[in-house]
Amino acid sequence: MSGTMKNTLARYQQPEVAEHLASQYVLGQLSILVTKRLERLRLEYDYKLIDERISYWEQKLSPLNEKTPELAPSPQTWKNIQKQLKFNAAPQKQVSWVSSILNPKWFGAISFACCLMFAVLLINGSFEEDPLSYVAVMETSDNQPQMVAATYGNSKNLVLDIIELPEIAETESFELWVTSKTDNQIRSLGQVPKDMTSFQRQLSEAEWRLIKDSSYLILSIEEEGGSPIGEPSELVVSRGLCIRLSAWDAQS
Amino acid sequence: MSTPIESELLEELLARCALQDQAAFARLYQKVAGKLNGIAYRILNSVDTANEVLQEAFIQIWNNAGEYRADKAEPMTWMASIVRYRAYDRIKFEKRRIEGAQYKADLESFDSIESTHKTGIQMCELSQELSNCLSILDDNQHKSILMAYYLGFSREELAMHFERPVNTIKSWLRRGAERLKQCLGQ
Repeated sequence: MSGTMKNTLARYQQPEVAEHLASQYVLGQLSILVTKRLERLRLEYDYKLIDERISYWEQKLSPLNEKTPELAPSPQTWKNIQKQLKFNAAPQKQVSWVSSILNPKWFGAISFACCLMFAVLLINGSFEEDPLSYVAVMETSDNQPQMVAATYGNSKNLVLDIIELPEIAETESFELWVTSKTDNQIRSLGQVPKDMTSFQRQLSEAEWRLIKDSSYLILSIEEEGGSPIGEPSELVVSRGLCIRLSAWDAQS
Repeated sequence: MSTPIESELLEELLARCALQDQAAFARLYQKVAGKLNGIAYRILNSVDTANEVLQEAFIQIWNNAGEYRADKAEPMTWMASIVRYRAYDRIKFEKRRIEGAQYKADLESFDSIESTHKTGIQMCELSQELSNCLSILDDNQHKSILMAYYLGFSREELAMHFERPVNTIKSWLRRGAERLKQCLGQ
């Protein structure tokens, strides 16, 4: 170890330096190199002060994570983890209701609209603790269903069930938009993953307000990372009227 | 961040993970993956990248479960920190924060969390303490600390946002942290 590095590490044991490094580490402000060094040092007894101060800041700032909405991970993520760790058991897969109902072996001959209405009635009767509140069936310009977007009133979860979406380039992404009944403005509800058949995430309070004021939803193709101008491109894939369900009306 | 009962369960699951119990790890994943993925998404604003970071974080949780100490941190705080650091690393490594809609969405999200903290809506006792202490900071100190922690903004990005030199941002973050510590206590 060089003399300069020894001096640097000696400074890390000084209380003021340790405090500063710990707070900036927890705020994500250190370079990758210093971050990795701290992560290594905090495991050593000689640098336990840094470890204590990092724990202090992590604990004190942790309430900031409380209101962060959940985002259901891709089923592939767990498979990748299992593969990487050379596991063999799989947790029980949660199948979304629209995926189940859209399975062609069940309702192959029934039209999509009838199927959805049945689903809505079924859900309203059986999941009152988290009622389905809004549904939009996203269709192409020639009325082909591409995706069903649904929200649940109590959990404020947005569930997207993908039926069929067009292939897009690596440098492109899908983005979901909501149009306001009040001011006709179009606002983003974020990106839709390319390779998932079902996607679920919890909406923030601001996004939930957008849903409650929604007229219809739009799905567009944008460059990777989303629209650079905060508006949908001309490449609109599908759109769907946002329907507010009566069961939710009765509760709210 | 979680109730005492949930914390006890998560502590137990982490302890069993340290003993290489795969079933406990699967259960832990089912209990917390949605929340941790939400934290990754909040910082990265990309579903795909959030899932990649979640994957890296869970590998780290499995490998380092034996290092978790219940007397030092809540289990959810420990796991959320792993996710945050991996997400911050990803932003730095890729040297990117896509301009336009993502940046706008980040700031809208920030406005939402900031207004929540200012009004104190639905805050638990612990959050109220933090909220009160954040409120005594200068506006710029308050905003830069929240934007760094909550959205993963670097000093350079904060400097661009506030149109101030990086050294000024460093000073805001340092002084802000010092005042926050004085208020929060040891």
